[in-house]
Amino acid sequence: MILGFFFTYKPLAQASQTVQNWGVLVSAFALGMASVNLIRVHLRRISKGQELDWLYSGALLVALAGMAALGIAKGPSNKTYTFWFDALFTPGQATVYAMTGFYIASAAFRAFRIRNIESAILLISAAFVMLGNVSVGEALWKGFPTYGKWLMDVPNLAGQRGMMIGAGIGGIAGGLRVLLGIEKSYLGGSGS
Amino acid sequence: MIGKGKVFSFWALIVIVVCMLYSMWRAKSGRPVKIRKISGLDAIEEAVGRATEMGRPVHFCPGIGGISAIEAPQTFAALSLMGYVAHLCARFDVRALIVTIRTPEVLPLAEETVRQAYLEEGKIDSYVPTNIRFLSNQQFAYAAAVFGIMAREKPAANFLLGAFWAEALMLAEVGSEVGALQIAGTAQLSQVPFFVAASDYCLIGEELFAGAAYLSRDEVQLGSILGQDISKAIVAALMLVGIIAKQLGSTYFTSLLSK
Amino acid sequence: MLQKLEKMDRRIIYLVVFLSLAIPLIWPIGLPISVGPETASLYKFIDSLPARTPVVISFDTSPGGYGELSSGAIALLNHLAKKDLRCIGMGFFDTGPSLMQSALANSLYKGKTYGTDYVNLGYVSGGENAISAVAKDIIAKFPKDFTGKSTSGIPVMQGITTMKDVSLIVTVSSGTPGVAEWIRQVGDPMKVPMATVLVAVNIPNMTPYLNAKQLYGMIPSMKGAAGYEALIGMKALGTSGMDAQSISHLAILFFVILGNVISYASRNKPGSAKGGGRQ
Repeated sequence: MILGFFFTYKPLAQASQTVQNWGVLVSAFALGMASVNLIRVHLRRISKGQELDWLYSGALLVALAGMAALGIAKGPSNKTYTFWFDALFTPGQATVYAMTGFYIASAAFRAFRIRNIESAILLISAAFVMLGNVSVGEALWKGFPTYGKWLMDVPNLAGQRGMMIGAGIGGIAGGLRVLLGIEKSYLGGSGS
Repeated sequence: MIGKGKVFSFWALIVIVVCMLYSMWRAKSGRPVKIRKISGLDAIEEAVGRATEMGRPVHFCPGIGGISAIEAPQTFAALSLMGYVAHLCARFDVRALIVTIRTPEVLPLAEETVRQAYLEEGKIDSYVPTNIRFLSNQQFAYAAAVFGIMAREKPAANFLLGAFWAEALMLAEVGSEVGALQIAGTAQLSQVPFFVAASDYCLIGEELFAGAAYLSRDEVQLGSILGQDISKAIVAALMLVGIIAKQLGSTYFTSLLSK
Repeated sequence: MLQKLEKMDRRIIYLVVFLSLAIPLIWPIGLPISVGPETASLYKFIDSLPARTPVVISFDTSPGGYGELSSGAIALLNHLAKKDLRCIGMGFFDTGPSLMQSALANSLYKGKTYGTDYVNLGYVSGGENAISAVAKDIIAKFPKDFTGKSTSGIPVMQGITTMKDVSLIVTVSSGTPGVAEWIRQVGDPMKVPMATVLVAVNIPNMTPYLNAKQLYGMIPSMKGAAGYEALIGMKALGTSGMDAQSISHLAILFFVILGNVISYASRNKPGSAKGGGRQ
């Protein structure tokens, strides 16, 4: 696949595409297998009948079976499928994502304490960036968006680029160790 | 031969691979590699020990990325660290090691990693397959399920290692709420600040990839880390030369990058 | 008193944040909206496109991210509809096309003809590999659209075989595959102009692409959406959300300052305990 990416030799590209297609097939089968794991765990919980766990597990299995059957039989653009997707799934996911806003407030209260000069710089920078990104900051002082943008575009970006380069090379190193068989612990080799 | 726009990338990859092979050979031929202390990795044993003393489980999440996309190296790095954690959990008789999975193809790797660790420690009877749980392949459904598991099981140690996206902060905050000692690590740059704020120890970027080498102290693996550093030095030198050249009006390096 | 504040129930923080978001949504303050240069740049580019120019909109977001991106996506669709541009929709997240249906239904495309003015081609799995394959032959990868109808001979796709035949690609992105994958597979090799509607947390990651002109423009989160709504003259959720965002940011800053005041006062109190405990 690496060679297929770099070289224009057609058989290589075709072989690479074939391997990628196999990867897609494996992912699809893995999803089926993982669903079996999910069903197994929740059926076990229903059979144990502890507190309200069985009720939630039952609801999950009914929803899983129902939506799967509906999607396969009538397609994902079907009215009923779309209704449940728009009424339940989308708001549910959006709600959980929105909880990040609350968690950042509690994390900020707990963690953003000035203990030394570096944390003081961090806090002041965070204040500039936060106020620079909203209308009230600009209304209070024109400097907030200006300096906030400078902080994001210069020091923050410099740090990010360094980390990106490091993480990129680290990824290549990790991939090379896996390809050469030097690192086998992800397969259950000795990890101690 | 080499596709348009990929020549520089190809030769850059060759240089990086040569650096790493050379460093690995150098380490194997008896020249030890020193690596700096990474407190997040040193704290793993402390975290698992804490779980043993408190009689509470350990929760491990190997990220929500897969094994076939750009975040695959992070997932493999997390699985390697999971093997180490599983060995410790088996050795110290931790009440339970709960592994939560979002990407289906990671599930068999996680099951095998944990099972093998328990087998090697001679504690195969303690291995519970249903503790390795696929929850959902939808990001926030997965996150909500993990919240529930952490609220019910109250792990004493929470490992969040691998590729994470928007759920990172939430997982770390919920872990903090239940009183877990948290070791987090990711190469997803957008999530690093959240982990730094919300967890006790954070592995940033390549510290995650260095994990298996650091913990095993295997000479060849440590050698590959030296190779990474040599590659980074070459990149930094190229950047410096390129900046100076650009300031002097030369576009050679800019055109070189797009070859 | 200090100890009580230090150990304050998190739910009080959550309540204050909730009220700081809810109250301005119900009673808007009307704070001024500014337009960022990256948003203005995208607006100018789209405004310069002649009528019936094809534009690809790729919904690469989950329902979670869509909450933040919907206002920007709908503002963009409204602009495309106003300019009578052909909208070719697709998605590389499995939930993308369904979310696109929702966005189209809430935009000016609702009054246009499906198949002639716009189409939702649906989802194709495979992430970055799929983007690469679609870029080389769009119809081959989408033989049927999201509604199950054949895409062969569809009027909106007239004259379009590869991504080189479109004038702009906009990815509504909250994760991977996203902007970086599109730039690697299509934007750079095929030299097709690219833009994005993006979640706030990814803005620092995408700024290098903007600076390198690999992205023509960006609608960053709700602030960008509010700016874009101001430019097209159609105020909606983006604009109303900015007041709430402003007040909630002030609330979070208040808690940060409070935390530091408590920390400072506790440190200086005689006989105060050092360090926190974990239950």
